[in-house]
Amino acid sequence: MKPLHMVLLSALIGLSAGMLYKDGDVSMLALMGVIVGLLLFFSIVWRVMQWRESLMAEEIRDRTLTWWWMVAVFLLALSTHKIVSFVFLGFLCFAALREYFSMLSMADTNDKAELAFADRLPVFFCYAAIPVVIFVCYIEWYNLFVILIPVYLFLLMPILLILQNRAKGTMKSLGVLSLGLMFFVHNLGHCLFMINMGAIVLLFCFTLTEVRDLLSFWVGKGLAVLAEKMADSQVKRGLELRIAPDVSPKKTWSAGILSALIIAALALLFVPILPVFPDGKITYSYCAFVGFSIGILGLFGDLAFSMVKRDAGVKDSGTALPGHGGIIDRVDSLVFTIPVTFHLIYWSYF
Amino acid sequence: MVSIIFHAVGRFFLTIVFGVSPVKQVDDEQCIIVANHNTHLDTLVLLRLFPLRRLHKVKIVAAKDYFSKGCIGFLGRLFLNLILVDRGSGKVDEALQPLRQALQDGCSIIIFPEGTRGKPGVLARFKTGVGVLAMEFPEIPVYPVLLRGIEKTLPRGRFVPIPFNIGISCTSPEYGKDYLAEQGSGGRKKLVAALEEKVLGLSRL
Repeated sequence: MKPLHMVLLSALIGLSAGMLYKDGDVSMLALMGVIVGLLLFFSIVWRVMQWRESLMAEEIRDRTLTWWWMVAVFLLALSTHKIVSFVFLGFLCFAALREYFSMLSMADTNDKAELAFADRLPVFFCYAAIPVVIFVCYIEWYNLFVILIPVYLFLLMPILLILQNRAKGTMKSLGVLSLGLMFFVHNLGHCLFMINMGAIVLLFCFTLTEVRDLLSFWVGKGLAVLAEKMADSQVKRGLELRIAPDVSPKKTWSAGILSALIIAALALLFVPILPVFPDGKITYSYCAFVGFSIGILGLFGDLAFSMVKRDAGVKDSGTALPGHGGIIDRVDSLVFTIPVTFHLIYWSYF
Repeated sequence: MVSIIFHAVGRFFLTIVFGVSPVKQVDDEQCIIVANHNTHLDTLVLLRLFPLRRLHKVKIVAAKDYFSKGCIGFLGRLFLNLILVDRGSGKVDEALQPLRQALQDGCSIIIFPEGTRGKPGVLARFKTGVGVLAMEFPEIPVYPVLLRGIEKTLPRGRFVPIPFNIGISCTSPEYGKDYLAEQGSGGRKKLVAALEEKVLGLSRL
C-alpha cells in the first residue's frame, strides 16, 4: 500500500469517527471499532501468510485492501449528513444496476442476445427511477416507496415497449428489465429507506450479511474436511447434501444452515446497540430470528446471482473492486437480506 | 488550462456515469494508440491512457468529411487536438502527411484503423495507414487497445448516451523495427495483421 493511500484512508476513517463522536453516537462508534479491528486483524493475517509464502496471501491482501476502502467510504457516507447517505446509497444501486445491464449481451434483436439495442430507452428509465427513489425515501413517503417500483415502474416498461412499436422478443426484454428493476432499484433500494430507521440498523444488516458471506466460505471448507474424514454413513451424506449442484457446485445445506445459526447468534450482540424503535426495543428472540433470516436469505442471494451469471455466461460481473470482482458480487446477498430485514423490523416495531 | 480543466471534469464524469475501469497509463514518451471504434465516446475514454499534463501532446486522427462541419465537429475541434484526414481520396501518402508531421513534432497519436465506427461490437479489417506510419517511425511503440461495452452506450445513429460499464484493456506494444527485415510491403502488412490479432485476442479474454 502506498503511503499516500494510507494517509487518505486514515483520514477518511478518522473523519467519520470524529463526526460520530461529535454527534455522541456511541453505538455506531462501537460498531465501527469492531469493524476496523476485524480489518486490522485480516491485514495482519495476510502479512503473516505472505511471510510464510502461502498461496492465498495475494488474494487475501487484495480483498482486505478493497475492504478497507469500502468500509472507509461507507462509514463516511453513513456518518455525515442524511443526504450524503442517500446519494451514496443511490449511487450504489445505480452502479449495481449498470453492472447488471452491462454484463448482459446486446444485439440488434434479442433472439440470441439478452437485450436489443431498442432496450436502451427502458434501461434509461430504470436508471432514472433511482433519483425518484432517493427523493421518496428522503421525504419518508413509505406508501409510495413500497409500490413505486413494483407497480408504476413495472407497468411503465411494457408501455415504453409498446410506444417503440415492438412485437418480437418483448417478453424476454421485459423479464430482463423487470429483474434489474426489482433486484437493484426496489430491493437494494430498501437500504435507502432503512436510513430513516437509523444508520445503525442498516449497518446491522450490512455487517451480518457480509460476515455471513465470509463465514460460509470457511464453514463450508471446514465441514467438507470433516465429511471427508468420516466413514460412509447417513451423517456423511447429510453433510455433503448440496443445494443446487448445477448453480454452485460447492454450496451445501449443512454449511448454509450452520452459518445461518452462527449469524443468528451474532445478531444477539447487536441488541444492546440497536436504537429504541417507536414500539419499543427489539427483543432478543426476535433479533435472533432476524439474524437467522439474514443467514438463509444471504445464502440464496449468493446462489441467485450465481444462477444469473451462469445464464448470462459471465464469471465475474465486473472489475470494479479488485479481489472481489464486480459490485454485484458484493451486493448480491444484500439484495435479498435488506428488504426482508427492513420489513421484519418495520412490521413489528413501527 | 481550460482544456485541462475540461478533461479533468470529463474524466471524473466518465468514471461516475460509465464506471470506466481504472487503467494503467502509457509511460512512453511518444506512442501510437490503435483502438477499435464504435462511438464518439471512444476518444474521451482513450485519452485516459495519458496523464493530464501530457494531453496537449496527444493528437487524434479524425475523418475530415465528418468533423469539419456540424455540432459534433465543432465541439471536437474545440476541445480535442484533432488531425483531420481526408478518407476515401485514394491518395494515402498525402493523407498521412499531417500524421507524419505530428509524430516528427514529438506528439503521440490516437488512430482508429477500422476507419469508421462500423457495426457495434464487430471488429472491421484494419486499414494499412497505421502500418505505414509504424514502419516510418520504427522506434515508436504501437499499443493495441480494446474498448469493451462502449458499443452499448452510444451506438451509431443514436444521440443520447446511456450508462453502461466501459472497460479498457491495453496490451504489449508492437514496434516497426521488428518488421524492418521484411521485403517491400510485407513488413507493413504483417504489423497490421499482428495489431488486429492482438485486439481480437483482447476481445476473446
